[in-house]
Amino acid sequence: MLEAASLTKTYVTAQGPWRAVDDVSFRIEAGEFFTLLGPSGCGKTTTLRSIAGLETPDEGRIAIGGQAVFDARAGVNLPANRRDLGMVFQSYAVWPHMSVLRNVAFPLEVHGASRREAAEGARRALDLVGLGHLAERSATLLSGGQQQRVALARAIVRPVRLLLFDEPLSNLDAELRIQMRVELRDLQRRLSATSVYVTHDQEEAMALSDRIAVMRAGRIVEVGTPDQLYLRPRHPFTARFIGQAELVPADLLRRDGGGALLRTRLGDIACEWAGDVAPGPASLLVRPEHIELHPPGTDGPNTAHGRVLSVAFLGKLADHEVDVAGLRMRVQTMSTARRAPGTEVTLRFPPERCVALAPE
Amino acid sequence: MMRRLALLPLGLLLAYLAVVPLILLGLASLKPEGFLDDEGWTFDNWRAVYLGPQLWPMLGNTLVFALGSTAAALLLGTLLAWLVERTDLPGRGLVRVMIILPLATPPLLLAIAWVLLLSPRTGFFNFALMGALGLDRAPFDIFSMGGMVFVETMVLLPSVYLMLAPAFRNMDPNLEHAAFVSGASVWTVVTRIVLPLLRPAILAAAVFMLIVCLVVFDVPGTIGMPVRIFVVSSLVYIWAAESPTGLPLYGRIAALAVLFVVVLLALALVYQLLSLQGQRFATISGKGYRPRPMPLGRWRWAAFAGVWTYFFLATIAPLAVLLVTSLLPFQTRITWEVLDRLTLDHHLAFLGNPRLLTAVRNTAIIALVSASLVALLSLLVSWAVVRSRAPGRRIIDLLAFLPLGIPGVMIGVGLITVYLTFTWIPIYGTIWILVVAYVTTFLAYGTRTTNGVLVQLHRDIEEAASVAGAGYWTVLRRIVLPLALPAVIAVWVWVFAHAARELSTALMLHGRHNTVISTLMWNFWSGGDGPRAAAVGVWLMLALFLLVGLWQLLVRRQERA
Ligand SMILES: Nc1ncnc2c1ncn2[C@@H]1O[C@H](COP(=O)(O)OP(=O)(O)O)[C@@H](O)[C@H]1O
Ligand SMILES: [Mg+2]
Repeated sequence: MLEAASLTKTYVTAQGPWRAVDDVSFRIEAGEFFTLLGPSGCGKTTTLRSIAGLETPDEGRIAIGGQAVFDARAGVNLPANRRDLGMVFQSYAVWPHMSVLRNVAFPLEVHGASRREAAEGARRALDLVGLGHLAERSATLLSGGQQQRVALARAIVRPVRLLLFDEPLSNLDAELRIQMRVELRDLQRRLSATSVYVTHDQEEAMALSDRIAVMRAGRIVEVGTPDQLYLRPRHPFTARFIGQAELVPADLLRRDGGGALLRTRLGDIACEWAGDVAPGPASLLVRPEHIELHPPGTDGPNTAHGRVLSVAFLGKLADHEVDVAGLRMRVQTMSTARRAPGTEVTLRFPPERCVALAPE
Repeated sequence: MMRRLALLPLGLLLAYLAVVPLILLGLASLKPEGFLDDEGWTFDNWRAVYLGPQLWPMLGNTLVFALGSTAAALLLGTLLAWLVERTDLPGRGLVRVMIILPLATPPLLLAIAWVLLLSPRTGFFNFALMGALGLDRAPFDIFSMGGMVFVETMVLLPSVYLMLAPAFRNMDPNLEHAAFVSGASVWTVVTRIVLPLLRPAILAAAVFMLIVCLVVFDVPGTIGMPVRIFVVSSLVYIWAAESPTGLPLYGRIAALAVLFVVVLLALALVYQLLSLQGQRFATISGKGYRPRPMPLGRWRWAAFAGVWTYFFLATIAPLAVLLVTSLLPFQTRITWEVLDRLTLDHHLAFLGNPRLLTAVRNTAIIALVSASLVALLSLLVSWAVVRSRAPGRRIIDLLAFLPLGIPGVMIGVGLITVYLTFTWIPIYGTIWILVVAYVTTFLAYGTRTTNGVLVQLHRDIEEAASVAGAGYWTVLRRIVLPLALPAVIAVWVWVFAHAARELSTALMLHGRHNTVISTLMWNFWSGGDGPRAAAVGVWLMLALFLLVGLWQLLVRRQERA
């Protein structure tokens, strides 16, 4: 449905040229919810705006539904108003001089609908986002969450080829953010609209997306489903950025099948999954909630001896800081199973949850 | 408590500056000769003005002139602001610098320059065109309503630009982009999103320009008066300086002033309301860097040519013709033959003429003192208005703002009445009466600017200083002043330039001891000595360019830091 190939964008700044997007390529299938995830300043917005036609990349190609809308070599550059898109901006960009209804009706009107048809369509869209009762309200008199819904209704009021979202939830308070997240996902499913979503919030990305592209410094680090990125990342940056990660320096002894054997200060650790890493220096990824605590003296593969240094009680969960062979590791358990500081323990690293990665 | 006490003298001072002249003006209109110590009361002046033959044609001219100039300046100024702030017009940085030059050009000089360029008998452009196209009649006649509107448009355009550019700059570009992505064409985006969003700012600029045009004298005096196209200000001038009896008709002027003051004050209030509305719409985008400019495509170079045509007409051509004229031995048509006889005499005379040197000194003192007083008072007034919670602060704001609706000419007449009555303040006929007039007129502008800055200054910043133990004056001196300094300097420069070029008030208050450069130029020019007027004008423009250029340099350095 959407294909972006080798997008590159360099800004000329006072400090010299700055490569905001560097050779970015990806494909999105029809109906898919695709997210660009990465820290602030990594080039997500620039990539999204290039798809929208609001930014002109220096190089690369963008095709929507098989039609090239941008191609630097062939000199194709369809303007934003002819790409047939819906977009939700981070600042909402709700027009303050129009009523809610006129805001939402605008895309229909500029596509030739009569004022009455446009109003009807706008009402349907407003009902979808639960704002039907506020149609006549002036747009300046809305709360942040309501403006967000207006922006959403305006984006979906026409059946468009592609929906674009630039951090639409980042200006909402935490509770509303989670509620809107659910609604957004429902709506997207119901409309089966192909969507590109930009966020720096990994939880939001995990909750919403079919697939996520993790970005860093203008480049895509890796692409995968939320599951893959969490349980079987290929890159230490992904491991750190998504979820909590304990990364232990290691040496990769050998790779076998999908996994690998690592030599670490904790002993030799078998991993059932290895990312992009060759024999030699490597690192071991294991999530704090995957490490098991056993009574001292428990033997077996992938175990190590340690002593609890401190415990933080988090309600449902408890966070332990454990000293293992001079390393401080975080271990998370249900709080009912927490250990007192000073307790001797054996840690087990389940091989199916251990991942061999390149060194950081 | 301290704050309330400080408000009282401030309020009294403002009331004295703005309200006393108005009241005395009203009273004077009911006196036979227009002086408060005249015997008896009469409606003769009112009858002579409102039932006389001069009023209606004059009102018609004033309206055509004011509406025409405002509309044209608004259209072109908005376009220019949009081109510079929102599109990929080539050389936008240079335009931002260049736009300051016309602002530093006194309207009187611009009018004189355009007479020199487009007069039907001697105008340089007219003759150049006649030669080039083989015409036997001059194609343009500057001495017409069209000519007046044309020159006034040039005068106003930079102000429109300066009022609207920030509005364009502060508008969240995503508001445009959202419409663009929705499928709207550039035309639809401009007409349905950009212009409606800027409507309050544009209307406020329109009202402001209208106020200026309704009372301005320089352009109608130079271009309209010789062919008897009178507007209110030129009629007032005639009554004051060239009345048939030889005595100024102050009574009539006062009676006419009442009508205009009422209309203009109403406009001023409208302006105030619109400015407040404009702030409601203000949508500041969260990003620090400049948004992507709209590509103009094939219009890019056409727009470029248009912008530079404007600079040519507003600055380059007028400056050139003034320069050449100032070098002519006597006022004559500029031809190739005359160019052989150019002389520096008028410029040299400038240095030797004691009257001129006095005028320069007077102008410098008046501009310096007025600018400093306005800058100081603006800061104090704004701080009182924006920060204090005293009950009188709204009144203070209103008092500081009122004079915007009182034309300089009328403040002039009002002040004559005031200081001929209060003879124990012996400033009538001196430079100090001009200082009082300018402080009164320009305070409205100053406080609008400083209000804007102090509103944006978060209250916490000051409160943090108070908590740290700083007193009232320490907070003002150590915290508020440094943060508001760029705005205060901007006010200072603006008032200095305007005080140095102001003509209508100076003519009204003209006495033996307060000749300034602008009145001197006016006297040379209306006495038929164009080259001498031009010689003085060239130096005045140069000085103002220098001042404004220096200030811009300072601003730019600070922005970079
Ligand atoms: N118009 C611009 N001019 C200069 N630099 C820009 C511009 N737009 C973005 N950048 C820079 O490019 C980088 C990527 O920006 P952006 O795509 O907005 O990042 P993100 O959305 O991931 O936070 C940032 O470092 C940003 O400062
Ligand atoms: Mg962004």
